[in-house]
Amino acid sequence: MSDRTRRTLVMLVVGALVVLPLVGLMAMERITAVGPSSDEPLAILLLGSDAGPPRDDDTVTGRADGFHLLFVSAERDHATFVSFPRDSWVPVTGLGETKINACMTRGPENCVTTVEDTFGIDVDAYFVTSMWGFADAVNEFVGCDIGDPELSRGCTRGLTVDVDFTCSSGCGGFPIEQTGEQQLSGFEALTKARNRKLRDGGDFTRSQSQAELLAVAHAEMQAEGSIARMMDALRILRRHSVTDLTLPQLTRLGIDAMRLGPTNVERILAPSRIGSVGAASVVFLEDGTYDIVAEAATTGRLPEEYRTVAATSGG
Amino acid sequence: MSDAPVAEPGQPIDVTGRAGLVFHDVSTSGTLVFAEGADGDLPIEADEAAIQAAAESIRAWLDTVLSERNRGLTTTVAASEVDATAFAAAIGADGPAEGGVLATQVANATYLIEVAYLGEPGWALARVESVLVDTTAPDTEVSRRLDSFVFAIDDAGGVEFLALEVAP
Repeated sequence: MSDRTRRTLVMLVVGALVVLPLVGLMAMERITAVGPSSDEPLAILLLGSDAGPPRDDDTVTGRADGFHLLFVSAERDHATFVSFPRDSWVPVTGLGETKINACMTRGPENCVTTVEDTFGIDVDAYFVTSMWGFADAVNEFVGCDIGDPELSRGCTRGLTVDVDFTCSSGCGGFPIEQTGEQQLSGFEALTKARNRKLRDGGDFTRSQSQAELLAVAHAEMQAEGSIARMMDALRILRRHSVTDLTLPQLTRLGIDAMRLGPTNVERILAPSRIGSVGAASVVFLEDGTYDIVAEAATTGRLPEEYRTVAATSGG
Repeated sequence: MSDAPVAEPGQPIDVTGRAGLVFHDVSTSGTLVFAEGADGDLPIEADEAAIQAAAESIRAWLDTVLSERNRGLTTTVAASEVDATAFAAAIGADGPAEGGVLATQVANATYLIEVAYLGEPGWALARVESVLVDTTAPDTEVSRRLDSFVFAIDDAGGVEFLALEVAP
């Protein structure tokens, strides 16, 4: 045995002894893993940029029209998406009181700081994607990876979601021709994530749809129960997003995701109301939003009084 | 007193798996969109020595897992619970046994190691195909199993076993 191999084995044994108390059998009987990536709750900021393809600007300095906080419990057995309307009026770091989506014009780290200062929580990581980056990632995930968007038309594989509107042109992505539960390929999913003009609730509804699509992707990955599938999802996620996580951190997060049952994933739109500031139409976050964020950041769950109105991603 | 024969452990078999290696570039394009052929078809500048070193560490770890308990016994000592699970799964310790002696041992194995690369190796997935032979007749192949192991690779090239999926 070489010295290098011996050193590696010693490191492994020592590492294994350290994680011994954390070892647990995962939900899927065939998978065993070391314990959670940490013993603290996680808060992850998920941002969807209005820049990048099909537009020209740099993805990570666009406006964050998709704006979600994902909280995961310390035990990694519960998670909560809190979705924010892009027009939420908050104090943005370096910009003063303005719409929350403006935070990313100074980079995603500025959105992290904005969230931390606004809600008094720690954000552990961020992910940013673009419109076509999202669609491309979904296409790869579901097996419609054809490269050229035009060529992915007609792909019958997709995320299984319920759609309550149809759109034939100017949809934001590919047309959606029927309502009801169906499989959406990447650019159809983009329509569900982007379109606000054809839907009751406008920006509020599409914000909820974005979290729904993410939760559905997690549920579908989890349902397959395969480590290889999870690793493939991580590769796709990493290639189609910008994040401050290292690959080893991302791997542990992926294993955390395998641990999490879809029925324990809740989604809620930040309680808010439409108002105006000068000539601008804005959204004011209500006190409930701050209560929700505080609770979710601590427990990974919604406050009890909000659980009945929240959606879950499975079950 | 019973005259029933006592099952004997098999002879130790040291496994040196044959390893295949592929690596995935997981860097992003500036647009986060990839045209057809951009993944895998284009030449990528990578530190191949670092990738090979990570794969070698994983191969050595797997060899150890498959060898150290590979005497046909259902029980023995492992460094930790998670290692014990890995050992037990890899040698098929949940398989048929009599008097604490397994019906099978691992004769040899093949590893397909996939390494994700982002300026340096970051994670690896190893698919392990093990050939199981009869403990009492080591030349007789009984079955094969396919297990998957996940590792994190730190920036010093150290590998940490994170998860295991056993064959269905």
